[in-house]
Amino acid sequence: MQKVSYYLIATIVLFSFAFFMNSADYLRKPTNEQNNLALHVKNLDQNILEENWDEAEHNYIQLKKAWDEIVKKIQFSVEKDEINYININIARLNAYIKVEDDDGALAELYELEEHWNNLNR
Amino acid sequence: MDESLVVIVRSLIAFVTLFIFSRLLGKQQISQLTLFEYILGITIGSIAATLSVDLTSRAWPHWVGLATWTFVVFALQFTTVKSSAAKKYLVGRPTILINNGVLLEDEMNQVRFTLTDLLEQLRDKNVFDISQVAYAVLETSGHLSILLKSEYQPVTRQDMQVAPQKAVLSPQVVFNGQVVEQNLTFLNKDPAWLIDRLKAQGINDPAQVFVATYNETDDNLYVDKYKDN
Repeated sequence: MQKVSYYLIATIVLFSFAFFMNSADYLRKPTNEQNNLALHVKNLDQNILEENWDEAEHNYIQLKKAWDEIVKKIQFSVEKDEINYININIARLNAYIKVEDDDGALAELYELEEHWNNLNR
Repeated sequence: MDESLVVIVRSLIAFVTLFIFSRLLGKQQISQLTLFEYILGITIGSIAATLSVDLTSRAWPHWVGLATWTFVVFALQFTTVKSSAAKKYLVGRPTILINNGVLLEDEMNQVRFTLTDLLEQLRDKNVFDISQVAYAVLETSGHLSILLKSEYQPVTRQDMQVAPQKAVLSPQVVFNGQVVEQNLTFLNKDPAWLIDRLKAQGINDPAQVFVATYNETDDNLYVDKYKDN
């Protein structure tokens, strides 16, 4: 019985670790509209194409908040570099929106989307 | 990203995983490991270290590497236990370096063992004269086993035809000032007996004792007190 419980505990622990280390895909799924990063990217894409900079600024803040919330959850199971790339994209996007540069903002947004889609792949 | 927090969590994962895997691999001491197992041990340790602190890559691939290496070692151990041919192939065979007092130079060259190495290992076993050695065998773990010529072997009770004494354990009856009742029961003694024996040695309280062991064969209670003088 003791041997069985030893193996059982060890197996449960190992499987929990395996799940935890692969939990990024699950944890980055939106639980509400605020932390839906893909939605904010889509909104920003539209704002930039329409050159609606006030709305773009608002959606940028939402995107930043969503990302900060997601990072806290996925930081244990993704590469540090993957997080840094998205951080850089967000910082540059902010600058392009401030100077109302649609070319730069779109480029950054699409790169961010690419990094987001390839996160944990 | 909170790097310190991530390192702490990943280190805990690496530590617990390594603990579970090393328990799975068995109780062999470092000195009992073959060279191959020793190298595998280092590799597994290195992977665990990377899992713990290398934040530029995900934890999961390192963990898979750790599990794979452990599984391979486990499979090898299992194979060597089940098949003597596989053991011979994977672990090698012990090599006789001194046969009936004669040094086998060819064998020594084959295992790249110099005379200096041999003499050093003999000295390590308190043999300072090579002429006393009948057989020397280099084990697969790299250790040298020796058999002295009969004239240099220590005299035994059997040689002297002295009646053998029963070999017994000397269990601890007091440890860190606490009476170990389980061992007293094993010895068929009770705490009152212990108190009497301690009093006979001028000790009124077991709390004064750091360790006490009892040898049944010669009825000897060894006592070491906290205060040495």
